[in-house]
Amino acid sequence: MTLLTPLAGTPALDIETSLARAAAEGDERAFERLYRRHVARVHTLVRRMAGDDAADDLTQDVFIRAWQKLPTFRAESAFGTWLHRLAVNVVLSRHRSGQSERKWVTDDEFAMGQATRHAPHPAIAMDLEAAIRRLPEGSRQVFVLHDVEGWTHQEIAGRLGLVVGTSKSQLSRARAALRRMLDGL
Amino acid sequence: MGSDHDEPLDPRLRDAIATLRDSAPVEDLWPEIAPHLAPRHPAGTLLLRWPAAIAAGLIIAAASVGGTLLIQRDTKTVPVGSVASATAAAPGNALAAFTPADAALQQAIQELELLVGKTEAALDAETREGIMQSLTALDQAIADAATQQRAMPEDPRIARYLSSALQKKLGVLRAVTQRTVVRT
Repeated sequence: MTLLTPLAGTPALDIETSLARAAAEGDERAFERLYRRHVARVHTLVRRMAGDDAADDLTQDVFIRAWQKLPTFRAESAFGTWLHRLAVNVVLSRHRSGQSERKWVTDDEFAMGQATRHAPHPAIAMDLEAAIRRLPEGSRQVFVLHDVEGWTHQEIAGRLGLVVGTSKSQLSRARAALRRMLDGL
Repeated sequence: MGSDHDEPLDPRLRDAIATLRDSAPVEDLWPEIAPHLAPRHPAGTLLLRWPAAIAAGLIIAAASVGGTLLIQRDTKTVPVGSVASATAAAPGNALAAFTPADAALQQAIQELELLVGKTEAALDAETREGIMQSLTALDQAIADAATQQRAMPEDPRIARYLSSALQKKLGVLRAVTQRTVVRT
């Protein structure tokens, strides 16, 4: 019997918890199974937040860090939730260290203008992935965390070191920019 | 979508978000990740090795101290390796891993080690050898725990093992000093 082919009625979350516990005890094969299950999700998340160029390196960092931190995983949340939070932390620690909120917002204001000024060709206007990539970093991260990943402004503000109002305004600006880009303006 | 109240999402943007799909990296990243997975020591190694080491140490110490009380009637001693020198070999580099509570334990251990150093001459060679082996085993357990704790400072199991090993050592030293102080 393999952990990836559970008996009928066995919740998937239980399988993941079993794999996580085995990996926490040092079972690399169990960890590889977790990797196979979550790599697309993690890679997509870090790519949307940090860009294509950094996605592979960051994804590797996420899983290496997950291996190191797994002994502290208490299964109080689903493994996937725990891993995605960790992924966000890895991205933010790589890209946000030492940046103040003021600089973050100021840089975004400049980049937002650049992004919308060079909107994608109408042929790819509906390609939201491409449009997200064109957003400045701060707005992109707030948009991805809020509108794609489902975080609240409170959670985003706490994790990014912002006030809630800044998170809201960044989201509003990101949505407006995306609408303009999708319209091909 | 985030659940807190903000402006409603444009329907067209909402529909576009709904079409987003996850995509795996072009190349499999596992071959790059696997070599970086450090072997896991604490869960397996500590659970199996520590209790054995500690139990063995305590059995030796108990047998030696008990034997001293029951069998040895005089205070004749033979110079052998020093109990105090064995305890003094406790891992100094482990100190960095100690919590305040463990540091207090370590302080108590050091005080008892000084006392043992003054009174160990009252023990016979065999007893001293047994105690030395016990303390050496405990010191090794403490050193292993401290090393693991530095690597994974947030792991509560490692912290418990470290505290447990320190308490075991303190217990052995207490037993030794009680016997030797009574005898001398």
